[in-house]
Amino acid sequence: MSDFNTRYLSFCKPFIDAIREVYSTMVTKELKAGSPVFKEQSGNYADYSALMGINGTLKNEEDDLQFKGSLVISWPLQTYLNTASTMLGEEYKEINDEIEDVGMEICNITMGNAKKILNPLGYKIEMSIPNLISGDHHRVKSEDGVKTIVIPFTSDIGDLFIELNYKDSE
Amino acid sequence: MAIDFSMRVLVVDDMAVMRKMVKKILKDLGFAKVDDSANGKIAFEMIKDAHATGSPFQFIVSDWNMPEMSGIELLQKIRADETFKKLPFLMVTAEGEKDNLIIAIKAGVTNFIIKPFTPDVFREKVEKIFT
Repeated sequence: MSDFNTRYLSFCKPFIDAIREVYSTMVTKELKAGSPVFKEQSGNYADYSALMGINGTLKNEEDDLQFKGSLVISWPLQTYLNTASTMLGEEYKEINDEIEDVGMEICNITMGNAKKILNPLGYKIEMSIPNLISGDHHRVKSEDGVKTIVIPFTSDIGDLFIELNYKDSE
Repeated sequence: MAIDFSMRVLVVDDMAVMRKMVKKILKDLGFAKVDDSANGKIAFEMIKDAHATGSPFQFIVSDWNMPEMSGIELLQKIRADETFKKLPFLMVTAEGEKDNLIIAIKAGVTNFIIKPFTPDVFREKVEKIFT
């Protein structure tokens, strides 16, 4: 079996590439990824988060296992508004029905594209529907035993971060 | 053959932001009559009603993953109806996996586009359908 940390970091890369691709094509903005940080629990706070659950298997020469996890993409309010405004070519100063699902759509596309990259590596992933969490300065907490990688991003429309929560299934 | 920008277009997606974005791209391309629906089931009713009232939709742009009726189910329903067998249908999907694309082709999709996409890529897909 491969080393967990090495395997987890290589699992994260497609998600980094995917969200950068979403921002590059649909938001026409470059996202710069900071260094991934392992945390036992996320200590990061945000105003809007989009979340999708993951159920998967990994079968290749080194590994044969099942895992569960989630992808969380989180934004401060202003970055979220700037993202929506740039995507749609209109200025939004507050969240409304038109842009409330921007985060879920970005999460959905990021997950879909990451899956495409992970498939040839032996991953088979089932994903849940996206959910949106809103609330000033909230934190998304996972159950005990879940490993979390946090990847910060910067751009000229603001910062955001993604969390990949992961646990090998028993 | 030039694109007839006076044709009626229906955009189907459960996400408001995608409906807005695709409608904007279509209008920027020159399409004058673009409607939308958040739901495949309602979209099929709109397609039937439009035909019945003499103002039919001539192009459908639909997301794949939607609750109640998915884009693939909408496509299958359209293709099963003699009236709409040849209605141009562009499938929009976040998952470009080969198996899914094969399912869409077998169901009779005219073309598909994988998210994320730029307006230029969208335009190319539309041109491929109509020119």
